Amino acid sequence: MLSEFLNAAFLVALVAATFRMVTPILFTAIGLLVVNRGGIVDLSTEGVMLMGALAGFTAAYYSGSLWLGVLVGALTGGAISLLTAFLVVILKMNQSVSGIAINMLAAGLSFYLFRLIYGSSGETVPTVSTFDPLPIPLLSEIPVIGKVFFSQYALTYLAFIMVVLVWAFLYKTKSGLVIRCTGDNPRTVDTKGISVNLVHTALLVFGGMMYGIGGAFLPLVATGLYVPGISAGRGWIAIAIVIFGNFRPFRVMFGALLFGFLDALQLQIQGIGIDFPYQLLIALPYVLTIIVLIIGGKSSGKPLHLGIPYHRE
Amino acid sequence: MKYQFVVERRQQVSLWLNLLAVAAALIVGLLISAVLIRGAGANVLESYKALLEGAFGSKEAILESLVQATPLIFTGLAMVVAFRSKVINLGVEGQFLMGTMAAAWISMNFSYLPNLVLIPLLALGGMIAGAALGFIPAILKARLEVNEVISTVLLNYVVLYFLSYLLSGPWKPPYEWLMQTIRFEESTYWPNFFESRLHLGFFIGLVAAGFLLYLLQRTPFGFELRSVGENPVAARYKGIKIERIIILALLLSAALAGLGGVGEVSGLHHRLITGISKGYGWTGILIALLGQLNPIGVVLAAIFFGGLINGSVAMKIHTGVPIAVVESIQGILMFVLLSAQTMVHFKLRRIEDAE
Repeated sequence: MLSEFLNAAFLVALVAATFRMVTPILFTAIGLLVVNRGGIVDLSTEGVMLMGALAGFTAAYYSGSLWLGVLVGALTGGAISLLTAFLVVILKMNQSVSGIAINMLAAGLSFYLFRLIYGSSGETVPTVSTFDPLPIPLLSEIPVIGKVFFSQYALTYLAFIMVVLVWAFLYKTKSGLVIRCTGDNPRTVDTKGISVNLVHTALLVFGGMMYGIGGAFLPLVATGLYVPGISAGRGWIAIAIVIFGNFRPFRVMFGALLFGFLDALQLQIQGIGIDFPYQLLIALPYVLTIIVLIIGGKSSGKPLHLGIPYHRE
Repeated sequence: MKYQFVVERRQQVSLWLNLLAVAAALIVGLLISAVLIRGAGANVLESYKALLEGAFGSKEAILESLVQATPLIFTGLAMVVAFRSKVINLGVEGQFLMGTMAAAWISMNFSYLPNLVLIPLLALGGMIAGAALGFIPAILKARLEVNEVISTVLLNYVVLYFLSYLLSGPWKPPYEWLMQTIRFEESTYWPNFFESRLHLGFFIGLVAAGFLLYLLQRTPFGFELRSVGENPVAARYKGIKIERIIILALLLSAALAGLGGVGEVSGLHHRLITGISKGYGWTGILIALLGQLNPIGVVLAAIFFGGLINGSVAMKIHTGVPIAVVESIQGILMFVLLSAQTMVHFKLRRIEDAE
């Protein structure tokens, strides 16, 4: 009896944790999906998440407002992506190399600014009290399901709402059609008198804001404190998930959930204290992401003009 | 007379123009970095003076800068091989760590062998370990078209956590408080020079640069590698087996990274420590680009950057600017350099109106 109860509790905690762990990756992956659908490869996600996390945490720490932290995280992400836009839209540079450059710039800055703002002594670790879960009235009362799905954090709901919004935007609106066309054949969009550069810049800024929120989630919801390198490769994993998700919103969501599940699983296993080195458990999701990449290797949904700079002449 | 300017693409960018772009990027980069130094409340001129003196102000300073440059020569060369064949190997960091682990393993298990046997054995072991890690993304890319950018990056994390595991238990002596191995036997040491910390690794780095220059410019393999990077379609028509070149390029790149890892263990620390790579794999990208994807350029860029790392310690002592400023300068330089190098591809031309 007792073991059964423990198992049920374990499963509920596992699934609930899955939705929590998936949030930062889902924000980033959905933002990146839109950027990719517009035809741009963006490898800056990891660095932008770090800057979003630092800026968001710092804003929340000094203002006491967690939502201001989320906003600042988003704005910081958008601002950094303007630099990406400068390299890939104005200078038409190789998009992979540009992304790596912005990634290094943002990661380096986050490292330095953290030292500058909080010092390196480490005597008092600055913390914020994290967001409380936001149980949805009535729905959260449902046994098991309520606890798993409807007692989450506001940002977690928002991430899933964004998936639906992005899907509806991409497939049900004229602007969405323009974006998808830009990704497949920018010349047709240009012929219609729509500025490809403007579309690309707007997409990058939107993407950057999403990465920024994804980053800000980590200190503001998950940990309550900022540590250098807090995103721990989640930006890169988001890139893999978009490829695995074949550039489709719901498949991307599914891929992100798979990763979130593995991440939650390793956390729960650590939690119940099985005698297995925790470092190897942490490494597990990264290994599985590579395997997932192999499985989803051939992306039929890849935008035709992905990663190719658009020249007007 | 009315006229206007148009932006045009240059047919060819001369070496001088490229070097001018590098120089301009360095100047602009250091100007922007001055903002960060001001942000730390320090005097900019004093800080840069302390940085310069700390980097190249004395014989000791220069030697230490070369010590700091050593791992960067290897990671920079590793990136050159990759970039030249248009393979984006972001796994240099992990491959470097594989080299350090191989060196540690050999040092712990074969220290009874004579020094003269161990020196090449360590080098070989590190290269094999690095290449072994590089083989995974290589075969995945060549056979299954798995994007190497992501697979190489993700493997970095796997290796990093594995190393962290080794240093937290299996390879850590029980009495040790820090996450590190025992200090290895002297038989495993690579020799030092000039009564300083400068070790054999630096000179192996120079030889590797020379070897790579020869390989790229004077051998059929180098020609094939460059062809694949410059124009894969044409390369295929020439009968070059692209998959084979991609695999070999990644293996060579990873082996160089692994060799760099050995230098840090066997030449410098004589033990495997946590954080043995301070992001050298990532800095290698900047080193390769600063060095114009040329092995000689890589050596110069690595020495410049080694000076920056070394000098930042003096700057921290004199003016209190956090050492982490190096990471930021690295990112800023990368951004400015790429912008400058792209901009020199364009020129402004004045055209007169017909009227």
